[in-house]
Amino acid sequence: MMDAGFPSDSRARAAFDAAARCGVQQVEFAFVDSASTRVVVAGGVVESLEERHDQGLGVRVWREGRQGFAFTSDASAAALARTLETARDLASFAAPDPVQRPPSPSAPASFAPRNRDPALAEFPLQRKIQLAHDVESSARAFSPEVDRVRKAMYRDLDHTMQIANSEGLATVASLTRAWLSIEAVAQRGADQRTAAYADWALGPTGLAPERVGRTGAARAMERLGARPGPTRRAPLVLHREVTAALLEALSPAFSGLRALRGRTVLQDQVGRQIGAAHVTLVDDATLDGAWGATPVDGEGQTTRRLTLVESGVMRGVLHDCYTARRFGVAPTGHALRPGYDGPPGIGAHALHLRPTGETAPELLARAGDGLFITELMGLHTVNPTTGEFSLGAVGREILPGGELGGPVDQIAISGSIFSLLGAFEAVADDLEFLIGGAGGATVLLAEAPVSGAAPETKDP
Amino acid sequence: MTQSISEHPDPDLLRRVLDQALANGGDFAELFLECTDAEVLLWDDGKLDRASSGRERGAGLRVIDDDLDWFANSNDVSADGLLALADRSARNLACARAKEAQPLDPPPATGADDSPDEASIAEKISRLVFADRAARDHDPRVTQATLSLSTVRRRVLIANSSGGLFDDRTPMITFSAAVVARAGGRLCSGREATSASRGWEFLSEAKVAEVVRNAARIACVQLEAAPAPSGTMPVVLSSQAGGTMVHEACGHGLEADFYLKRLSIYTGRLGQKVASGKVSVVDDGTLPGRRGTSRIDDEGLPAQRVPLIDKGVLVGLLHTRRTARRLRAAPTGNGRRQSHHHLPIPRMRNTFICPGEDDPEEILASVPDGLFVAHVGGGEVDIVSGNFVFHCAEAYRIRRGKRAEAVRDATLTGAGPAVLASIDRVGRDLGWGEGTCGKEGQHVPVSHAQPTIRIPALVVGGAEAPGERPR
Repeated sequence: MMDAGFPSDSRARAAFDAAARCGVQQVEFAFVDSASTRVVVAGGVVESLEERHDQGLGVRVWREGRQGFAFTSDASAAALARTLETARDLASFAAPDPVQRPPSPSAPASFAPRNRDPALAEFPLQRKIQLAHDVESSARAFSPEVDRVRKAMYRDLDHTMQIANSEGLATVASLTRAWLSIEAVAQRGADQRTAAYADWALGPTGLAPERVGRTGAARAMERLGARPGPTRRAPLVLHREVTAALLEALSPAFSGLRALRGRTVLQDQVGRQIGAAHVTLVDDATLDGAWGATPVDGEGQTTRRLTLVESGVMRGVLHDCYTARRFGVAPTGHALRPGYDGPPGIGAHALHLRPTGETAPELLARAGDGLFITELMGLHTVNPTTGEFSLGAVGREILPGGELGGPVDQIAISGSIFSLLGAFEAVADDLEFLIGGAGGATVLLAEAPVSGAAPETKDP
Repeated sequence: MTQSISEHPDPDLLRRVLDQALANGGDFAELFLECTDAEVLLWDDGKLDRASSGRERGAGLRVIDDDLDWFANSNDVSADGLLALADRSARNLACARAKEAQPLDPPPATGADDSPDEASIAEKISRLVFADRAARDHDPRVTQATLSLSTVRRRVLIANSSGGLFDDRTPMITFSAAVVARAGGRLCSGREATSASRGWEFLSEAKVAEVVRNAARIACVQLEAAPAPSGTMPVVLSSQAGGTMVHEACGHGLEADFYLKRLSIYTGRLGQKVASGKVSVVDDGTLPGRRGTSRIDDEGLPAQRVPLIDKGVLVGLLHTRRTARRLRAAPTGNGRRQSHHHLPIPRMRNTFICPGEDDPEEILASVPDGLFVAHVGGGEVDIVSGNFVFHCAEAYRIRRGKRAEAVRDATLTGAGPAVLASIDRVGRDLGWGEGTCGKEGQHVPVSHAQPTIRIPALVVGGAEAPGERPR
């Protein structure tokens, strides 16, 4: 949401006045105001209810091509002055770079993704609590073997960021989100398994507690009796949530800053084939229905659709204003600023793959005798510099014809961004944007090594 | 919160806030005031790339009513702001049950730490220049070093309706190095970090050099490393690998919230054998200067040394006030929270497998064919099934009892209790690692350690194709 009235905002005016008083000419202010509610239910009772409210200011100051950053959560004039002085003094220590200066205003967005549900502000606390209860009761009603949950949760967020800088840039972006999640536990004898599921909407009225509860319960049930799979090569089908998580983990490899500093294996790959011909990877913050939809990025630049990989050929790099200047290209609107307490970084908003025209069941049928990977463990160990990964996995056997067989666990899959994108055989038409950012679709991969139990080894 | 609120708390104001929070009932109210000053210098591409600094202050107020935690936080820590926060909590408390409040003890129960050594920004930059040179001098194949030096000063004041009033100051200094090495068309990276609850004196040139050289070595070793083998094999975890395995495979399952909700694989097994008789595990929040050390936890209770597993028998859990009361156990001082935005939950501090009696060299020599893990990256555990995974940042094949060629991108996965039960050799050495542990969306500093240990059979996930494993 763009707010033309913001430049006259008294808070911004006071901030620019304070900057002038401490001798700062090039400056950017990012005011963040964030309110959230979190209700956790387990065992039929509310375990915790948290209401958070955070406000703060992040300040970037530039002096002769040197940048300094400081932040405060104190709204007083004295804290503002102290924060400006700190940013100014820190800038004097940074290395000069002629292209380091405040972002210029960009052309206003010609679109406005639906990003707010005005009903959130009026939604009563008691109904939020009831949504969390409904998630848990739906899970426990699913089967007697689902006799408890780790937690059933309702959460919401109302977040506003105002950015103003000395170049005349002034933007306001505001969003609401509400989501329900469950971690259900299924038990059969001594075997106990857990599984999670979450779903989101712009506001609480768009949530479906019964579906969330039942899905979490069904997933936990499916894992009962899981055994380590054997070490072998197998075709893999990735659940759409797994696809999204992998894309998110590998996305830093597309960062312009990493390319600038030689910290990504994708440096100098633009124009080259880095994946199979079916792979078209897009980041699009302008999409309605994407968690990461936003009209402006963390520097106030208008966002747009950016193709990173087209038919297997790398086409794009994620830039903020600084890296765009260094590369001599236009900013792509990929500065991310999660809060006021850090300078913006670079990242994707709504990564997703273009479908290749098949359904998820059709992909499973093509992968006969393969593995359906439903969860990865250790995603934070993915190496964005080398693009390599080696991850724990759980999933299910795929039977000939595409039916799902027994559950497997304690297996590991390894590869690199090249081997992964090169192994794509098909992307299903079930794209869904998940909490956190990336969109996932079911994907079929060509045969890949799967590590598991040695054939001669009994269970430990 | 200004500095003065921690040094000169106004007991009358705190009392009014707590009384107001309990105005509509509740068993217990607790006000958590926090002020954290943080400074981060980021060195990249041979220069100071980014310098940032700031202050985060705020208050978290919780009211406990039976098994329910009501919590709210705010950045407004003025008297009016705190009373408004209390008013909000009281309004939200549906099940009103008035309790008689206790008077606050006027003097804080704990004192403040001695001020840690400070350094000027110029001194810190000079240390980063030294580190950058050390990384590049290590090997001509090093092409990039990204270095981060952060210092944090955290002050907290905790007041509760039982009359407790506690304050504490915790310093934290962290230095991390991410080094990139390139040879031919191959790009590899190595990471290493060191961190302590201490001041500038911790970060000597020798310490910085050790960290960057380790990161550079790991990056360069990976350049020549073969794909890791895949399959099940004996694994020797070096003491230098740090204690990620004990943290993931065992520690989380012994946090009492999981135990209490029958979510932990260890639930109901107190007093039972849960690991090999060679394995004893301790969590110790009192070790001077360690990353998980502080005088008190975030509920005001003193940090302790907590035996968890004694010669294979489960003897203890990690508690908050609430879980200790529910399980009728003594509190252990493990109620930790990331900041005033969060409720305290049971967390590890400095967790380790105690040294055993075996010679580390002899443990390696005992394995004819397997994997030697020299350095561990991150890990993750599924509490309910006990399945864990962790990534090997530096690993080597073992051939005929000797460390052989390096292998890259190995991941180890297994079931925690089964792996702990199978450990059959425990070295007399002990090596520490530092990390940041995430749970329930909260991240807290921890450290972990272990001796050299042998696990007879563990799943190794690598990119080497099955059947290619050399015999």
